[in-house]
Amino acid sequence: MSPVRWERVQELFHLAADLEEVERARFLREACGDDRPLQAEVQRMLDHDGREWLLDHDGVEIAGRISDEALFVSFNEFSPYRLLRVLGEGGTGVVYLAERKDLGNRVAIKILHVAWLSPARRERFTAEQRTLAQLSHSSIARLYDASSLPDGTPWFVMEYVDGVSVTEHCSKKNSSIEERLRLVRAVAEAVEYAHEHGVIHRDLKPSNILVTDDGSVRLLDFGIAKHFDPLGLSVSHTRTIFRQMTPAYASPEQLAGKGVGPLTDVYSLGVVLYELLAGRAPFDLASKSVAEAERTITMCDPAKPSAVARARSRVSWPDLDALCLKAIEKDPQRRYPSMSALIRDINHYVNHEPVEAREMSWAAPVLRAVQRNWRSISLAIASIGLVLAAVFLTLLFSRKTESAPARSKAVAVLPFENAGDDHSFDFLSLALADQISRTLEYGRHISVRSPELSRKYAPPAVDPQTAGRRLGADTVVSGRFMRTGEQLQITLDLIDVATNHSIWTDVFEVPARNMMAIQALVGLKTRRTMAPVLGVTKFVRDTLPQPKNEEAYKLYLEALPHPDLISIDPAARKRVIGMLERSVQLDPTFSPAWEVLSYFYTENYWWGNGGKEALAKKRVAVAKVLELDPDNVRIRAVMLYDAGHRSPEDGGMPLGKAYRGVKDLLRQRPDSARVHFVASWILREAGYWKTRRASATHP
Amino acid sequence: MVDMPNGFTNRQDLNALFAATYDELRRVAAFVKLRHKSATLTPTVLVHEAWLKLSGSEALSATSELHFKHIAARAMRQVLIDDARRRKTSKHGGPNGVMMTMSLAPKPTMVAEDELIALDASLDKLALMNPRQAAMVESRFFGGLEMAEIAELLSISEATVLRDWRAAKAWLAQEVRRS
Repeated sequence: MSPVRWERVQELFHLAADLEEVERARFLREACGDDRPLQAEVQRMLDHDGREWLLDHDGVEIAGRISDEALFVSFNEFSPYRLLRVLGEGGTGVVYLAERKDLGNRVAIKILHVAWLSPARRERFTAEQRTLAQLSHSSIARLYDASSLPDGTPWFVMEYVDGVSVTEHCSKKNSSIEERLRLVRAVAEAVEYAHEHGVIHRDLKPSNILVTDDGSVRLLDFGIAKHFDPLGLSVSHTRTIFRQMTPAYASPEQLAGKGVGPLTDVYSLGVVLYELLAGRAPFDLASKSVAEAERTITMCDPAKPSAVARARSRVSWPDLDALCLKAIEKDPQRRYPSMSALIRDINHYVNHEPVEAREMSWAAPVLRAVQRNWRSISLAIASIGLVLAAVFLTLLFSRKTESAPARSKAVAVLPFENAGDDHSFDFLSLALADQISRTLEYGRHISVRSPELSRKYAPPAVDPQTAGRRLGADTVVSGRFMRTGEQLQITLDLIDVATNHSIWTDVFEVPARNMMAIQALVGLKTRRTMAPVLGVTKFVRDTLPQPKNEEAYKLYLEALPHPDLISIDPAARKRVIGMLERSVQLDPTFSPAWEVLSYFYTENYWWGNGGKEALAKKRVAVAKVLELDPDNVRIRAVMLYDAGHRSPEDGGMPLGKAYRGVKDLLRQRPDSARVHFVASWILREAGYWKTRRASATHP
Repeated sequence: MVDMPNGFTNRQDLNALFAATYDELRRVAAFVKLRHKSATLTPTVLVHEAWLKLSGSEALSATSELHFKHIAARAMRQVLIDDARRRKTSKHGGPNGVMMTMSLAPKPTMVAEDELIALDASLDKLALMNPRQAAMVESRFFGGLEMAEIAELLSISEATVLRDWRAAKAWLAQEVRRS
């Protein structure tokens, strides 16, 4: 319908709507004359006028369903398996019964729907699953296959076990205490086998311990729980996920987010044993909030199983109490030191021998603790002395030094990896790293490693942890991008250098050809979501330099990869200078382009034949940067560096003055590697080689 | 699609902001859902959260909250329509997929995907007939804007908004029904 006709339709619609219903038909006939379609159109509108429908609902109902979308998966994703029916669902995932199309055998497929794998982690995930697949034990359900859906949701193909949970089995069969202990021992043996292969279960609980009709035990979900914590999720996110898990069987150290080891499995199996002996879990967490449950598990002592259980004859409760409570000691050091120790004690009990847990329960633990902890005890005594000395020294020095801030975190931004095959996007490798470095450099309490150094550690030649160590960084920003069709998928990863764990991951898509969108979004992500994870909440400036012209920005980005070439190849330098000059001509307000241009002019002055002209141009560029971005300490440091090189009549300054200038800069931005570098250079020129501290900050 | 919102001089800026908003709405929706399973999501809540997250950012420095709301409404429209399309394909494919909802209880389907997709197409037609009315429906239905806000956004009186809204709604209703 044309706009003009629509005007006419509306006019008639409003006029007719004001009339009584009986008069409308006649009015429309007269008003429309021969134009029957017009009349019909208005009539249809009148029929629908005031009727409640979709548009009256504010989109509320629909919005509520958005998040489910991510959980929709196509059956085809599980090829060569065909899903048959849902076997069960827990907080963490759904388990399906499935069939292998070609072979017809039945398997169980588990889909973890709260976990999520970034593309960067998917390979590592598959490698880990291969290790798990090698576990071959009669009591461990086999893991056949593992992969992830296109959206990163991990899924596993496991042996299908037709059985019931160990607790259900025991209460159904009214199993004797000995039978229950034998089942727990069978589980313990399977877990011991896994421990010997370096695999920790992490999520032992009755629903993962199935007993089949013939009374044999099968353990499910080995190592799968691992994918809930170190998945690159932030702490708060991990908490959310823990809420989905059953904290009842989680060990105190697991809840506290500390390291997980074989003793974690000892604890969880101990809780299962407690439940099998006493008829209920050591703590009643049903009505508690997660925080309360965590407190209970980490603080409260459980009652002896004998005090909870209905009395059974022919049972040596003191032995069982000691055995069970030893397995669920809060302090891992006081637990059975291994699965095999637990197995040994179960054997003692079954063979009517005294259990070790009880023998050790008097003086032994104290002695053992002293033995084991002697080193730490003596260290503790020594460290009290050290602390006192430190306090004294701090008091002494705090008068001299102005508030000495805690050492800033150092971060290195590595070149991005082009994970696709479109090499026309290769320039983004440095461009994205540059954008993130530039953004973070304005953050307070963070030290960003110089991009000129970081760019040497391009993946995949060097792994992020090694690169981080060589650059002296605490955290490494590593990323990859891939063009698929018109979209560019960007993955950002923060990797903790000490642990080599990803502490934050983000994946997003942007229109591949829209540099401005890429620039805006990467800047936004860096400031708003990445920086807080790095502990940066304050920035020196609220608004960072923004490119305003796409072509200009592209020229700038394409010029970035070249600084290494310039000193050698004058032709390349000339070409790059041309690109940058064009860039600042198109967009004179984007200071980073001016900045890079000023460096090139400097190079031209020193190494080329630019002469005085290059110097003059350089001064213009530098002035431009300072005008647009007065907080740019890099350029101010470089100015001092240059000035220090020249005689006073050539616009230079004495080294002493340059040093005062650089000290001033250091006070303003104690975290800037470049300022430290210039400071070190000035000190070196002045003959204070040993005084420079830059090597620590700027390798 | 429609006219350029105020404060934007080029389409790139707008595209960048749109992409960021789309991304953010999706993230907020998923996150809110994860935190509070029973949370009722309204466009207003979503848009507000997205605004809080994006405000102060470089991409948003050129725009006011009201204009952002309009952009967010447009992004929301895209999110919902993409979603409806995906659902529809999977449904029509027969037993080709499985919905992994947090609980297995069937969710009441209040709005059919077809109706949403038809609304989207009809809105495009309306935009050709009168861009202002299309923007109005977009802001109200997908962005949860109040009538008064729409009046301010489009610089027209509230009476005009109500009048335009009524005609647009009636026309869209019959158009969606016919398709």
